[in-house]
Amino acid sequence: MDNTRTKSVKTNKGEGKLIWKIHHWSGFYTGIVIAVLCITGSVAVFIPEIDYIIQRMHYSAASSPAKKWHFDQSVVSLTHQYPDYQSLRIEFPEKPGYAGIVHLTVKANTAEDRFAFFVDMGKDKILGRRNHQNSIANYLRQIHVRLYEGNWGRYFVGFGGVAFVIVTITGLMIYGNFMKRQQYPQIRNGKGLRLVMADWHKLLGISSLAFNLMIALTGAWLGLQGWFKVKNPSQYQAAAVMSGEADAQTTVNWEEVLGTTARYFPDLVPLSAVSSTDGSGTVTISGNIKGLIYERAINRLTLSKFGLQPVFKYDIREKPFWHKFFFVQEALHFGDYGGLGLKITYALLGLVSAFLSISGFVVYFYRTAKKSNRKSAPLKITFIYSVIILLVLVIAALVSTLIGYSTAALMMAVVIDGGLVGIVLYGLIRFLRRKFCLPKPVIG
Amino acid sequence: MNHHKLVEHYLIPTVLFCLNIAFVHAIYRLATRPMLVDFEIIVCLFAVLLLCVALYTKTRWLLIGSSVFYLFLLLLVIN
Repeated sequence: MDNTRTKSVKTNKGEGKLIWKIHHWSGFYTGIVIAVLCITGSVAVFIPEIDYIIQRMHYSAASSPAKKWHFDQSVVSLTHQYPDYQSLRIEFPEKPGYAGIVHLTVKANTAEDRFAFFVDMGKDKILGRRNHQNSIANYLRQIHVRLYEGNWGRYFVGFGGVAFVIVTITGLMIYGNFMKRQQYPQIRNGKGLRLVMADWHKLLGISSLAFNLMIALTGAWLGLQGWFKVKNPSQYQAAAVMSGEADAQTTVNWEEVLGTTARYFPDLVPLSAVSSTDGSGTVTISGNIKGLIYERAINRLTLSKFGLQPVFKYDIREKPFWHKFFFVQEALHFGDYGGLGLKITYALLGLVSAFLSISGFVVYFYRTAKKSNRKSAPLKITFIYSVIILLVLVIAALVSTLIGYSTAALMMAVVIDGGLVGIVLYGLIRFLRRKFCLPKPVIG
Repeated sequence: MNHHKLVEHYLIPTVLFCLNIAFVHAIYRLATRPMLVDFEIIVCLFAVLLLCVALYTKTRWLLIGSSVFYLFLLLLVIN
């Protein structure tokens, strides 16, 4: 009986050690990515608010008070100004005072230019324009969802999410072993910075467990959708009835479009409208249904440009479980379903998650200080690493907004891919050195 | 399993897990129905309060009860 018990205790200890090793190594190799994603995510939840401030301060873009939106003339004048435009999307103001935005993709010499024109939706007046790709709002989104690295960056972020799931679950599994007789929320002050950091790591980790798990799972899902070729279940392609050029030149009365939308889809709060240029001769109004937690603008009504007859309606409430599951992920991840209060909560919890990575590194540096014979203090090393990462993020933001998106993307490709190759080479060289160069210990 | 281990290693993490969700749930409901004081908001806020009290007092049955209560509410809301 005693033998069985001793064996069971030994097995449990062995399992505990293995789980701790998984937590340690996955945190060590992916901690920086997780910290970067948590910090950028904490800022990214405020993209609409930040963008609104920039629009007001830098472009003096705002809408005059009006009972209805008026923007027909502005759209017509823009399509006359750019007759060979590739796509046209209108972004409606989400709150009173916000300017409307007309997004036009225009053929440039070598590539495409994506312009965003601000429109006073009360007076139907164009207020100014910017290149959307080089905007702060685009920087904040792209740095979080793909680290400015195209599809590969998106997968990279997805794998970061998987690693975050692993560290969160293994963290929970070893929590009991590490707490032992310690009580929640006790911090052992006065016993050295290593223990203080370790206590904060456990305390904040367990306190934000559900949030971290949700962010990690949804982040992994969103990042790896492309990798697993998961198709968007709401996709719809109307059949072409004319040439693309003729379609682009066919205009509609937008007030009538919005009126028809309200009649066929009364619960839809319109967020954007797209006028087709692919020959289908349609306009699509996308928006939210108040009180539901789903991806932004997922509900849609497509109308024919001729007679404004509905040709397609996507109402998430009427769709099967798979559709709801698919579209709940982004809303849960970005936290834009509960107003500013929820965004602040998400941002704070996101910073807590970033702190978990940082405190994990501090504890690691303390634990290995003697063995590695490091001269710098653990806190100093962590601080230097953190400053370098923040500097890279700030430089990428400056390059993206002042020089251009593609230059920033090239810079981040060098940093991320170079860093990845560097880590792999470092690990390989360390392994080979240990295996072949270091003297073997003499036994006996 | 002794009392300390059950409470500190299992029940408190469970309560904290529920509290994360309940807190976000309460903010979401308050934001989407600001002018409407309905049953769900009241019960949700009560659940948050109960979970906090359970966490503070660390009473075994309160920890279990508050978690089960909130998870039951969540199931009801989802359905």
